[in-house]
Amino acid sequence: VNLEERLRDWAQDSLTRSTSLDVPVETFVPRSTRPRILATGFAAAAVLALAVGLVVVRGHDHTGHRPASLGQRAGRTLSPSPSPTVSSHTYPANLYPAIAGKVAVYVHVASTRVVANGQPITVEVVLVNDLGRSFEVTGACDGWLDVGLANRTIAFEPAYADVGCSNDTIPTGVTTLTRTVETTYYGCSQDPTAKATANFPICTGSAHDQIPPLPPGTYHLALDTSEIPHPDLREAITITLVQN
Amino acid sequence: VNAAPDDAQGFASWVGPHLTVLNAVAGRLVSPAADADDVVQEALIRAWRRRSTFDADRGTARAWLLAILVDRARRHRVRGRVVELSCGVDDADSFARPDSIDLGTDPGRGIEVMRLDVERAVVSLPRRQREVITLHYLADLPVADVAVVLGISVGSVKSHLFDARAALRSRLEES
Repeated sequence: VNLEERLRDWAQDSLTRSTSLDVPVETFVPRSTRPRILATGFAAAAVLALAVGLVVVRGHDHTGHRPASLGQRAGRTLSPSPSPTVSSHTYPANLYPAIAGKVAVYVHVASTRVVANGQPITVEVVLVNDLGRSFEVTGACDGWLDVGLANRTIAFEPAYADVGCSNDTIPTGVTTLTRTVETTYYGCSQDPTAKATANFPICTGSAHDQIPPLPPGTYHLALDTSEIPHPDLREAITITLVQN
Repeated sequence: VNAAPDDAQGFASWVGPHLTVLNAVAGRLVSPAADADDVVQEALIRAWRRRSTFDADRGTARAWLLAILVDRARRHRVRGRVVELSCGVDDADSFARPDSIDLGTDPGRGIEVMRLDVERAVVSLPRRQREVITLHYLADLPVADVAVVLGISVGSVKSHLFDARAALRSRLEES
């Protein structure tokens, strides 16, 4: 068997057969202050719009069916979470005790828990690693533990952990991370005629490019702990949003 | 270009040349094909969102995008939404094998069978070997870039390549 030759032939043939993603006719309008991906009709930044539209619609398609056309995917807005940073602040060990064999996750809300909707909240996430070993997280250079708000009607849809950047190691003991929690929806529809859902209202602003603030009410902080082995979230924190 | 374009159209153009490879690699790491499409799409979203983290000094755009893709494929498997392809011959059989083709009547179809034999052999490899073979041959990444994409050492890549080639050679000789 001339393996090298057959593998090269297989690769070449596979690439020839591999179809590119459909190219929808959509536009992205990234925001400068708070980066967002906006997908509306008519222009050509294509593949990403398809991807964004698909994911957003899928997340809210309770029937489990994939959208039948790009038109159904278009007109959505996504807002990635801000870039968190590691804090230099430390806490007394007895304030956040270790949990045997787990990574205890504590959230410290630096300011008041009653916040005007639309205003971001800064929190500190304290990890107490008692696994007896360090563990690795992906995308640590630009944040990997997203924090958001959720309640019975608003679902937590964390921005995705970074990958392809670098990994980092969380050592045993206490690690403190600073995160910013947005108090707006995670996204909105730019199509004024679209049907708003609990998680995706119609965008506001004259250009329909503003993500509305979450409605006043009671929320809890939600964390994406998917990168943490054996996480143990120690406290449910309630945040009350009031009308700005 | 040391940074990924920050404008949407520029970014779409930037990733465009790599889409075929991303699709092809995803198709070998997850199944069914619809899930592979999802993995590519999710990878592109992440790439866009984290475009500011791309650093050409640390690797090529293709390697960066593939790293994201491989990560997404891994998460797909972890979530249990995708059947592992590496758990046995039965999985590889989900890829059609036209046993009934008459090789004597159409040389081109004989080549097709040979390609499918390679395909079957590749997708039946253990996950890491499959990743290494796919990235090295299909994505045409040098060993050093494969190591970066998978987050393992160059030595490990070479080891997996060696084992994968041995397994492929054995399976192809059997077929």
